[in-house]
Amino acid sequence: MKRKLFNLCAVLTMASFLLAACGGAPASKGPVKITVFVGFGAGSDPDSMEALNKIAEEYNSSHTDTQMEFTFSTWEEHAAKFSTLLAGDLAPDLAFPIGIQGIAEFYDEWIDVAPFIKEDNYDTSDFYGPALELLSYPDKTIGLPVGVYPSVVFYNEDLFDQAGLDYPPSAYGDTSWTYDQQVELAKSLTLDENGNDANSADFDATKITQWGWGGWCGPFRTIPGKFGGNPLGMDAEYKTAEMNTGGYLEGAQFLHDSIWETHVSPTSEELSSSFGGADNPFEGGATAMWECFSWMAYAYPTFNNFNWNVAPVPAGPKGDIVSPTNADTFAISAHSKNPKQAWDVAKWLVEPEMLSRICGILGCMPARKSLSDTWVTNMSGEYPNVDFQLFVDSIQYMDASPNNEEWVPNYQKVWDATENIADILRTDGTADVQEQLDTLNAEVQGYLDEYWASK
Amino acid sequence: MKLESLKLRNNAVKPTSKSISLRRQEARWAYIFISPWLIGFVVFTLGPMIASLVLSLTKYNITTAPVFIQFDNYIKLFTGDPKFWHSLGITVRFAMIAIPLNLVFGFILALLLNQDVPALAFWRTIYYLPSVIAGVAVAILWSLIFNPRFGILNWLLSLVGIDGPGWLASPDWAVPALIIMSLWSVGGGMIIYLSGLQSIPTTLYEAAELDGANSWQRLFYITIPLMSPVIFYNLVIGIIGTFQYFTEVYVITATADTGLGGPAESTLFYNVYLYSNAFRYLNMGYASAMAWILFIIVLVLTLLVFRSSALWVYYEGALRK
Repeated sequence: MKRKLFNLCAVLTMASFLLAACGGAPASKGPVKITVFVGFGAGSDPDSMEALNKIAEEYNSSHTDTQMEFTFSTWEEHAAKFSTLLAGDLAPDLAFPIGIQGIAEFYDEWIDVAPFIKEDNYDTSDFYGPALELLSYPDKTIGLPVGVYPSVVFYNEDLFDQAGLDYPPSAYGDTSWTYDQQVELAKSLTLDENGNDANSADFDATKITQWGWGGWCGPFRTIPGKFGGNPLGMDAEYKTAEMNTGGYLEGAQFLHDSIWETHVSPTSEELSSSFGGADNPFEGGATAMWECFSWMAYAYPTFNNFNWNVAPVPAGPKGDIVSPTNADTFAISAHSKNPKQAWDVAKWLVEPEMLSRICGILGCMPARKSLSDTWVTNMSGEYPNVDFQLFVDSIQYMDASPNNEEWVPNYQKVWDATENIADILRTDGTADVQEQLDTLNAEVQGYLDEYWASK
Repeated sequence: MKLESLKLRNNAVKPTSKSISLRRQEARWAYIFISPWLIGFVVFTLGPMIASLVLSLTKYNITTAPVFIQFDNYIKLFTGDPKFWHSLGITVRFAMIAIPLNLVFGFILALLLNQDVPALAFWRTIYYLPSVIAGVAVAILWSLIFNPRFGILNWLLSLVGIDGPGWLASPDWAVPALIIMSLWSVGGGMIIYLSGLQSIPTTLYEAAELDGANSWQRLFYITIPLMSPVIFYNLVIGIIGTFQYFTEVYVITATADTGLGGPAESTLFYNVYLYSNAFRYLNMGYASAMAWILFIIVLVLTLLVFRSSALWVYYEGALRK
C-alpha cells in the first residue's frame, strides 16, 4: 500500500513538472495582442524604448479589440533573437521599424500588404514616390514607408575656415561638384602633424592628424552606383556575379586611391574600430567632409564642438548623382496569426501625426511629404545653422531601385564577402584592387550557384 | 586468522529480502532527489545535443522544415568551404599561443604570490580580481585600451618612442591583441595553482635544501612535479575554453565597421563562423555540423591530453605500475 502511494506521488510529481514545463497560459478570449519587434533598425536604446512603450499605452487605451506590445532587441542581436523566436513558433506579428536590409535578411518571412492596401483603398499619395518604390518587390509589397535616411556630405565649417577655403556647394545643380573635385578640395584639408597639407612635397602620410574626406560611411554597395555600376553587383537574374568590372572596379579603385594614394581618407586603423563614437574622425573634429546617411542625427549633439553643415552628394565620373539611402518601414510576419490586426496597428503607427512623433524617436525623416516642412522647421530650430532642406532635396537622388541594401540570393554571405573586400581595401595599401575584386567575384559566384542549386 | 574472520563477516551480512527492499527504496529516493537535475540535463543538454546531431544531417533554415541531406554538410565543410579551414586555423593558432601563455603566466604569478611578501592578501586580490569581470565588460574595456589613436596602450608605447600598431583594427595585430587580452583572466588559473602550491608539504623543500638543492632544482624536481595535476587540469580547461572562444570577438567586432570576425576576417574564429552560419546565414544544419566537428576536435584533444598525462602528471597517492 505504501509502495503504491509512493509510486503515485512520484508519478504525480513528474507529471506536474512536465505540465509546468510544457503547458502554456490557458487560452482566454480577450483582445487580440499584436507583438511588435523592434531591433531591425533604431528604437532599442533606453529613451526610445520608453517613448515607444508610451505609444503602445496610448494605443491600448484607445482600442479595445486589439492591444499592441513592443518587444525589443539590440541591432547587433536582432537576427539571432528574431530567428530564435521564429524557431520557437513565437514569431512577432510586426517588425517595426525595419530597413531594407532587415527585409532582405528574412525576405520569405514577410507577407504581401498589397491586398490590405487595396481592401482599405489606402491613400499612398502622401508618401515619397522613391520611398514607395523601395518597398515594391516583384512578388510583393512590404509595408508602407515610415522614414527615409538619404545621404549628404557633412562638413566641418571650422576646418574650411582655418584652411581659408570656400565651403562646398549648398544645393544640387552645381555640375562641377564631382568626387574628383571633392578629392582635390580634400587634399588642402588633409594635414600631417607638422601642418603640411596633402599637396605639399613635405607632407608625411604616416603622421596624418586631419583628413579632408572621411569617405563613405555606408556599406561598400553604396559606392558602385556612383560610378555607373549596379550596387548589387550581379545580373538582373541574380545568376552571374559582376563585381570585378565597371562601377564596382572604378568605385573600389577610387576608395583605395583616396586612402593610399592621395591620403585624403583615413585607413581602417585610423578610423579605429569604433564607429559613431567620439573617437570617430568626423565627430572628433578631425575630418573636414564625410558622406553619411541622415541617421547620423543620433550623433548631432556630439558635433557641438565645431560648426558644421551639409552639402549635396557629388556627381560620379559619368555624371550620376546617387544619394545612398536607408529607409524604414514595417513588415508583417508570415507566421502572424492576426495579420489583419497587425496591418491595422501598423496603419495607426504611420498616420501623419503619429509618424511625426515616431520619427522624432527614431531620428528619421518622415516618409510623408506633408510632414517635410514641419520636420525641416523642427530640425532647424534645434540646429539653426544647418540646411535641413538639403536632406529633403536629396530624396530625389536616392538609390531606390536597386537600393544598396536590397535582397540578393544568399544575402548575408554576399554581404559579408563584399564588406570583407572593402575592409581589405581600407587596411592594405598594397592590395591589388583588380585581384581583390576577382576573388570577390569568384566567391560571390559560388554563393549564387549554391543558392540556385538549392532551388 | 584475519581472512577467516572476514569470511565470517561477509556471510553474516548476506543480503536478506528486507535489506534489498531498503536498498531499493534508498535508490528510488536518490533518483527522486536527483530528478530535477536529470530532467534539466535531458531537456536542456542531452536533448539539444541529440537534436543538433540530427539537424547536422539536414538543411534547415529555421523558417521551413528541415530536409534530410545525409552527410552533405560535413562533406561541404571539409571539401568546399575555405572559411571553415580559415576559421579553424585562426582558432588553432590562437590556442597554440594563448593556452601555454596563460598556463605559464598563471603559474609564475602563483609562485610569486606564494612568497612571503608584504600585503600578500592585497596582491592576491588585485591579480585575481580581473578574472571575475564578465567577458562582455572585458571586451569593451580592452577595445578602449587597444584603440589605435586614443588607447592607453599606444600612448604608453609612444612614451618609449614606439609607434603602436592598429591592434584590433589591424588584420595583422588583431589576434595578437586578443592573445594579450586573454591574459586578463589569468587570475582564475592562478588561484588554482596557488591552492596547489600551498598543499605541497614544506618538509619536501626542507629535505631538498638539506641535500643541497638550489631554488631552480626545488622548482623543477619538487614544485612542478607535484603541481602537474593542477597544470593538467588547467590545460584541459584551457583547451576547452579556447576552442569555444567567442564572446570577446563578438562584442568587439559585431558593432565595428569591420564586421563580425573583422578586420578582413582576421578574427573569424571557429565559433564566430559557426554563429554566422547559424544566425546570419540561417544555416542551422550546417552550423550544427560545425558544432559537432568542434565537439569531436575538443574531445580528441582532451583524450590525447589525458592519455599523455601518464607520462608527465604525478599523483602522489597513485599506484605506479
